[in-house]
Amino acid sequence: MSSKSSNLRSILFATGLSIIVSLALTFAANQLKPLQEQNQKLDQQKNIMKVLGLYSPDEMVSAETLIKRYEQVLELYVNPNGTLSKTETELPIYILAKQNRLVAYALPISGYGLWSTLYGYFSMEADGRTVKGITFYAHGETPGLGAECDQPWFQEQFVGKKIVDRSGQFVSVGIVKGSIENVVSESEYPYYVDGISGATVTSVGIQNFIKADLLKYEPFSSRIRKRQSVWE
Amino acid sequence: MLRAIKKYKSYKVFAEPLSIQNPVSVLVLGICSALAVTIQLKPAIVMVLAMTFVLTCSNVIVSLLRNVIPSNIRIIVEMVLISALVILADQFLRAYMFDVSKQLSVFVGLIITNCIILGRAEAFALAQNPWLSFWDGIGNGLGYGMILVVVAFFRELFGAGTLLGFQVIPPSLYEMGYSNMGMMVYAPAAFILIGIFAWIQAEWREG
Repeated sequence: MSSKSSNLRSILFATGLSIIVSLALTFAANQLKPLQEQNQKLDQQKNIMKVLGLYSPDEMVSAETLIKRYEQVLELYVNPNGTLSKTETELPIYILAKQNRLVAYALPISGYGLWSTLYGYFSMEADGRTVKGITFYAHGETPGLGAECDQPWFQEQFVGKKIVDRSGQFVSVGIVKGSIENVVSESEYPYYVDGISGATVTSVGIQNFIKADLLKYEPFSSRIRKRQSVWE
Repeated sequence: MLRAIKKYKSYKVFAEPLSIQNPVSVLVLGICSALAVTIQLKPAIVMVLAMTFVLTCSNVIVSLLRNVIPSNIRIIVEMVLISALVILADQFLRAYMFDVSKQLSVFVGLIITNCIILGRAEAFALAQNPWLSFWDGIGNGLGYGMILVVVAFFRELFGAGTLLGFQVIPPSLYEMGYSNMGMMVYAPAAFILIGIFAWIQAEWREG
């Protein structure tokens, strides 16, 4: 076989193979898409329930139970003046209420870390000052470093922190480099958490987007703090 | 019965990677993923299944095509086949085992770079018939899996006190002052464990 015909053969073989493989993959991806989207949605709902204290990742419960349990969560939106509405605005909010009394609320957070955009939820107690929890459901940070933001030790630190200082000024929750004991004075402990060692860029990123996202929801949170009605 | 089976060449290609030709502890291939996914037993088992699936399919397909693959582009062809299979496995995991696929994250995609797979395609499937390549794939997949599962067993047991997520070390032991070995959840622990296995196996082979 001359080298010319063998080159042609290689090109034809490669082209044919690429076409067959891409067709097969497209078909598989299309067939599986509905199931994958359903999983993604359930995963987001799980994370919303997790920050609202309705679900713990250690629980072994079926998808049906979770979907049923999610019915307690009200999916609403925040108006620019801080009241809640059912019509879509740019600020979705997830409300947990019992007998029309607010118990907790969760808001979506997202922003850049080091390599990727992190997506998660941040939840607040009914007083509008105290953090109830934080969780991430998607990110592409380095395993072992930035990806430690998934770890309970990091997330549990946020519980009970305050987003407003004693004078009522919005401060958000800061993430320090290293341990808070070495960085801030004891009176500042309620507003800071330990950073992730080896992942300063991720930590700073999280700190920045938490602040930006909380600020967007400040009209709502400050209404709650002033005990004004948020229901329309 | 076993003696009769042992005569078959397919038995030999299946059994050798489980022991004297083990891809991880003897040939020291596929170490990267063996460190990354062995913190807990469940992701390790899923990883093994996904990897065995990819390896067996790629072996059989490469073997079927061994006479038509142009030799000057054979590595690219092998990589295309392997990556297509990995994407398939990844899509299936996302659809049917979402939590595990999230836990395995990038490592499913990295099966593509698992040197065992390209190694077997190059060294075995290109020269052997599909039947033998099939058994070679299963054997190497399980040989890799064996080490992963054993390493994950020890890491989860001593690192978290659980197996497959269930608490196995009784709380009373913790009250008596027992505590989990923090190092077990870090990658170096897997290095040490694999090293110990390689050592035991080498001793046993010589002895």
